[in-house]
Amino acid sequence: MSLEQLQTSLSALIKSRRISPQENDDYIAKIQSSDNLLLVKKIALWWRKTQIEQYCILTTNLLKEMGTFEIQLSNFFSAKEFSAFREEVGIQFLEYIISQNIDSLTQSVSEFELAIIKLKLGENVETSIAWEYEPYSVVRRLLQNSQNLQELNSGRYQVTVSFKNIEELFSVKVMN
Amino acid sequence: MIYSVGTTYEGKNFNYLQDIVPHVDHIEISPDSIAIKRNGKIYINPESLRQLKWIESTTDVKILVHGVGLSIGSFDEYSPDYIMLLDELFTEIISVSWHSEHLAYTKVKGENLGTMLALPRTDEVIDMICKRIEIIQNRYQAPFLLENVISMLPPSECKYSEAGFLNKITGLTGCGLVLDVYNLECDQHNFKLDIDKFLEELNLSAVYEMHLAGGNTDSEFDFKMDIHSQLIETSTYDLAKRIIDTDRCAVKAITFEILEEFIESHGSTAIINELNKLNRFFNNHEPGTITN
Repeated sequence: MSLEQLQTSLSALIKSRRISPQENDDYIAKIQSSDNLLLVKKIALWWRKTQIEQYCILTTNLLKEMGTFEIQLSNFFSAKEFSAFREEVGIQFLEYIISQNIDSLTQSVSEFELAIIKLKLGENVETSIAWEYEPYSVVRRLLQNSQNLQELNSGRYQVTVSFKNIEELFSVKVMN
Repeated sequence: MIYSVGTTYEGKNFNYLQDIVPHVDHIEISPDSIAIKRNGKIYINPESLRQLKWIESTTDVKILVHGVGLSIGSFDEYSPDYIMLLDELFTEIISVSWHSEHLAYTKVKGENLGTMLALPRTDEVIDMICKRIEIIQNRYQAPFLLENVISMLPPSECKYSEAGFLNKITGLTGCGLVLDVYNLECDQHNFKLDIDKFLEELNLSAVYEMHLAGGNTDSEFDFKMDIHSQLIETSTYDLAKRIIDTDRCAVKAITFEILEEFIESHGSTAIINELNKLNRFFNNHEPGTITN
């Protein structure tokens, strides 16, 4: 087995993707059914989790509260070509979550967090995000990692993140 | 022999850097950890670069570079992003004593694996690695070293033993080695590596640096993991001492590796205590004074 075949097959196994029959030799078959492969996947996921948890606190706390963080992380790991660089992988995860259209609250929080991160990185961000819950209490609860998100006050709000208002980071408008 | 004692630093906490600098002879930085990639362009975080320049201009502390993302063993290519980072570092920081990378791969066809895998110990790999080492040696003035990584998977083809593989590469290229002592303990635990046999066979005159670290064992798989989360165990100290006391050994630097994510839980005082302990243990040669 050539180095190319070996590495391509192992990469597919780690990413939980199908491997082509010609790539499947005895060694690959052995790895496919081994605890070692499960361990490699577990460690790879652990690294991503460690990086992402620290980078996107609001979105990861929300997903944890909803009980979907692990599965979203696993899906991201399998589906997405993620960066080797910490600074970039958090942004990629947020973009992935936004693309999933999970629900209104997750959409608002992940779009908001991405905009704030980009603003802090010096990008000329200018965006307005619709919220169906009172934003300050959501952000406060997520930063404190507190429970009971189901008790949030619903309503119609517009959160604006703009480089023109970098001192305050964001502003909230109540919509009628 | 006085060994240079140092630790890893990931460029994000200047207060911590100022705390540890009086207790080290060198700081080891990873270009990957201090990199920013934006709009397709990769560069060193300007704040981290400023801190490295502070080390260079205001202290006697040496700077070592230790990469994670070169992926020197990928069949298709090694990482051009990582090379760009090295280019920038070697332009901006003139006092890099040497730079090193893991003898492994983290990417396949440009896609990040999310982990680091050991290479099959074959002639095909030796040929590929040696050509790449030569390119890197010609590109940068500073010496280049490779580090032994842990095995995560059972080996595929093995024409060479673990030590024989390293000897062949260092012999053909003249590159040095970073010997990760904790990784040897991991391989002993996980894959029954015979450390005595490995050390007997390894060309220790190529080992310029040793890495010492502490980690955890995954209880589900009973697997000792190369995650630098803990202080150094007594067994790791003892093994490192045994290696250093060998006549053939050329080690000049000893680096305590600890990941940024775990520094806060230990506290900078504990890290400093560990650095001082390393200095006592290796530079005063007072066997038996270590207590964990």
